[in-house]
Amino acid sequence: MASRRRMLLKVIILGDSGVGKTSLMNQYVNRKFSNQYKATIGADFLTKEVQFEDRLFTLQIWDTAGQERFQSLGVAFYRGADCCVLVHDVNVMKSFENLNNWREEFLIQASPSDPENFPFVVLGNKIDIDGGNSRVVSEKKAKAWCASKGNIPYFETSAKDGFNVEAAFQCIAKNALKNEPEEEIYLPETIDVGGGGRNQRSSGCEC
Amino acid sequence: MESDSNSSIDLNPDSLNTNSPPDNFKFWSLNESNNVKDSEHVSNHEVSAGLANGSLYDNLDQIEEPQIEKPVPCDSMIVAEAFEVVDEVGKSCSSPSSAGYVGERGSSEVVNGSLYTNLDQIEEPQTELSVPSDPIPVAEAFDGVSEVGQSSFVQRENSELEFDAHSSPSSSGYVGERGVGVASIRMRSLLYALAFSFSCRNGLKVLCLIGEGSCGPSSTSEIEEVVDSDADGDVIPQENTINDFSDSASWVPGKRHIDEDDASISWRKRKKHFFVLSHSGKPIYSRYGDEHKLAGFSATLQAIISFVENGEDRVKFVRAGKHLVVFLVKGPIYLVCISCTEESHEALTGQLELLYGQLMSALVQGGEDLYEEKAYGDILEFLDYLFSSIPVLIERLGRTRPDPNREDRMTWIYNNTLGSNVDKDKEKVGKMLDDEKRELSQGLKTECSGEAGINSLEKEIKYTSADESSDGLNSLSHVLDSSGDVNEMLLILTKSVNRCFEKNPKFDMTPLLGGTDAVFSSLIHSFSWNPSTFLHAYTCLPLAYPTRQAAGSILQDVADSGVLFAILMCKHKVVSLVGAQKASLHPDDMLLLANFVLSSESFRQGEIWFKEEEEEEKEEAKGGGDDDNDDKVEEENLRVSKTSESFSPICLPRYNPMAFLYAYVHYLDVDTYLMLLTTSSDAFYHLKDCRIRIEMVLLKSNVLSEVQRSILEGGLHVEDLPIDPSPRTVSLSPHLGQEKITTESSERTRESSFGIGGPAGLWHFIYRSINLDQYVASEFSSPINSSNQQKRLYRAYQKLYASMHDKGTAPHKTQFRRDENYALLCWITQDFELYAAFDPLADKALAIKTCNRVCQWVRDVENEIFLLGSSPFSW
Repeated sequence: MASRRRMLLKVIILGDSGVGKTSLMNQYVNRKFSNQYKATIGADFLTKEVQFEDRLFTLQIWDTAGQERFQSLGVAFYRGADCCVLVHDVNVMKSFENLNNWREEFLIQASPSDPENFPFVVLGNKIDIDGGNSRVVSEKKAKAWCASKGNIPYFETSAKDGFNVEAAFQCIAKNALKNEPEEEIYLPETIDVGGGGRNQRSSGCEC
Repeated sequence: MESDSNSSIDLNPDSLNTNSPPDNFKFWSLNESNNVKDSEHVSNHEVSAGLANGSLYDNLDQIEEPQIEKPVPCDSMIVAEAFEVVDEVGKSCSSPSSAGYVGERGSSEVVNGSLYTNLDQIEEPQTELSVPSDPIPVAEAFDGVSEVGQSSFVQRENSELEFDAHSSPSSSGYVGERGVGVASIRMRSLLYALAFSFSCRNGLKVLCLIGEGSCGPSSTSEIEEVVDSDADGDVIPQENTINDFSDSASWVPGKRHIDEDDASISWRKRKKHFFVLSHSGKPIYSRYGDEHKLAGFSATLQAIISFVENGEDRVKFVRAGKHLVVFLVKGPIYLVCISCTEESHEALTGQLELLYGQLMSALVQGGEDLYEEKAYGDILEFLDYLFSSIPVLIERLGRTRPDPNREDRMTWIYNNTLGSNVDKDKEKVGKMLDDEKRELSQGLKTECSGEAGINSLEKEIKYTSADESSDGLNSLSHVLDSSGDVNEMLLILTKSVNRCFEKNPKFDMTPLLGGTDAVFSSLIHSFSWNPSTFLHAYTCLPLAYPTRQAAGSILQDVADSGVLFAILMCKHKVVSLVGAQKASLHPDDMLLLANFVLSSESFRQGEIWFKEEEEEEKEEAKGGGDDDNDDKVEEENLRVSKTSESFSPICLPRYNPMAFLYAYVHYLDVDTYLMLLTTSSDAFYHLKDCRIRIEMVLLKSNVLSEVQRSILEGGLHVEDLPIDPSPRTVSLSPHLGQEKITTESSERTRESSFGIGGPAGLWHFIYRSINLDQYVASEFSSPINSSNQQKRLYRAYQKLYASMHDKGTAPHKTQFRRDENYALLCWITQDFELYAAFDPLADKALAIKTCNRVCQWVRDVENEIFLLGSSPFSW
């Protein structure tokens, strides 16, 4: 019974091809990691229940395809998102530079009501590679960018080791939740019944 | 289309060529030599499909040991089949040219055959990429597509198949992930299939296994079941038992299998799924399983719909093997049906339309459930919510009464909501000013955030008992718990829901619908037993003409006094129905309304707490006295009434989808209920008065006891079909007239339960009067006894109906069709439609003769089985 009363949060993961979006998701949900790379086609969906401050939520995670040729989903995909996760590979500068494009693309497509305050979370992934020797995007640099975009929370993660993944998603859930509007917004949305009904009465039914 | 099976129809050549002399009847008479042409093309089309697929399925229902199976025609073994996407615009999707299509099918057979062969050998399909499948032919089938991504796609398909058959969740390379891969793979293959069907110009190049996993959650083929039986032993038989049970006559409303999700084999085997989701992919309703656990699945559905929408197109349905995936987009609400029941996509779309209508009518309901929902959440939040909505409630009720004493206001709301307030203050009631409302809400909030209040409310919530306590809040929770009026709080309609979604695509509608699961489940259930759902007609309880007249005249009285519709119903059957002036009620709306009332516990069992009127007056005289005393008075005077009355906003989508009416619902006895519909939100007391008047008249004129009698006796029995109809003299069906005959006939019925139905092998019939928008169906009798047999017959009727009303082919007048289950005869004139089911061995000439007699019989007793005359339907 109680399970039906949970809240559902839609989380979208964006980022360049091969930065580890699917791996992060799988590490988080299944605590599994595979070294094999497979391009996500279209999208993957994952659900995970999270508990946050004594409330149960269902995260509906939309893992998108990084490869451009699969990016034909557009608005449909981003519509109604509660939080957007931007992922880059700390070992690939290009993937970091593209974060800006991803963010803007999202804001255009999803057109959230309050774009300034829409919750994003940035993840710098693959910090495990080569013991961190091959990394090209410094934490400082990433944090600076996040700060310039309205203090986006930043996490350094390793989908392979599972490092920081749980913490990152906790933050994602928290931010998604913060953005959830008050429930009663629809209450004043009553319509003039009497009028509507009476008008209808004269026109009757077409049957 | 799909029915290119080679299995032939068992048409008896002898019966086709019989040359018996034509019967002559006065009115419509079916003359076999002239009129009845075996519409062979129709038969071929429909029946062959039935033989290949549907009938076998239905047989499965009956078979006790499902291991024993009939040989399956080759075609139906194919699980993955070519894809068929039908688009409305028809521009981009002109690709599947029929010739090329068939060709594709051929190749898919080969491919799948090999896949299956492999499957049988696999024991432990843990590692996905090591599946000894044969991807090469598949890849070849992807004509010209040779990218790396493609071939990996193909392999994934294989792995999915493996997944399906063995229930070991391994897919997309992440061994052991559960639920996840299902959705993702599904997404991939489906999107790919769609993408390809849209992009390939030379016909469909996509072989997609969505029949199994992508979209076909339920069992798709005999083969699959065999494989499963091998792997899982007893699982399948058990599953069938469950299905049988849930479909049986002892159908209990409410949602079942809540524990399932799209990773459960049992879930995937369900024959007919219904999903409602929002345009952002958030689940709203699922027939089976937990909506939240199916979030990935509904996201998939959303992606499919949206993908096509992105191309400024619209997907209507997708056929995948035996599965038909039907989509219906209603603004921000998406409805999807996935079925392997052999029903046509038109039929399923019709069902989705009804489901949407019910959704709209149910949206205004659910206040009670909101309460329940919040009870498990945050109490404080609930209170906030509740009290912020009370001003709305008050405004809606239009019965506000300014009073400085907050406690008293609370009590007052309580009294009003319970609907037993005296009318005398009604005149004084005016609309509250905005600031007053705010003040009130503020006041209530403050008051209720007191600890005692919360505690007692919490207690109430937990036990939901009728436990009186000396707290104003307590009474409020009673209101929430039991009164239909509380639904006033949630007046949401199409328009406003759409607006909500526009404003905020994240809008989560589930809380609004909380607890209305039963309404949807019950409607979906009725798709398999209630002919109203496809005939678009309603049926009446058989009653002697004067009895129905008596009921009609009192309803007419009421209708003249400002009630839009007055409907007296007994379960799903109409006793009498009256509409004001020109207003008319669509049969679909009646179906939804009846379903809504019958499946909502709050109407039926709502034990309404109210006070004796005198006592209440006393209390009112006290005015704003001591709170404690007030509450004590309340406590003493509360009593439970079993005959509940409810006043609820309801939307009748066929009448006006943009507005709603108010329905006053009152159960007169266990089965019989009165519905008074009005446009005015403050008509509660008027309707209550009307009801009291109606109830008195009905009791006096013995209508209610006649209704009970009719329930016991049932309607038309095929066994009672007059052998030698002498029109105009023998006008009464035996059991509708004198009591003596009644007993005889019921005895006969009992005897004949060992027999073979009516004369000439007549088993059952449905007669639909086109002018009246009504139908009458004979009672089920031997050999159509079990609910599965009944369901199968309904499906057969449904198909027959669809084939007769298919706009593509010329309108048919008659159809005679014979398969292993029935000989079906359909006959359509401008006045009526007759659907009759005979023994499959029945003689055709005799069957035609019998149909003529049935029509004559129906006409002879039409006074009793139909609502005639002043009906709003006779325009």
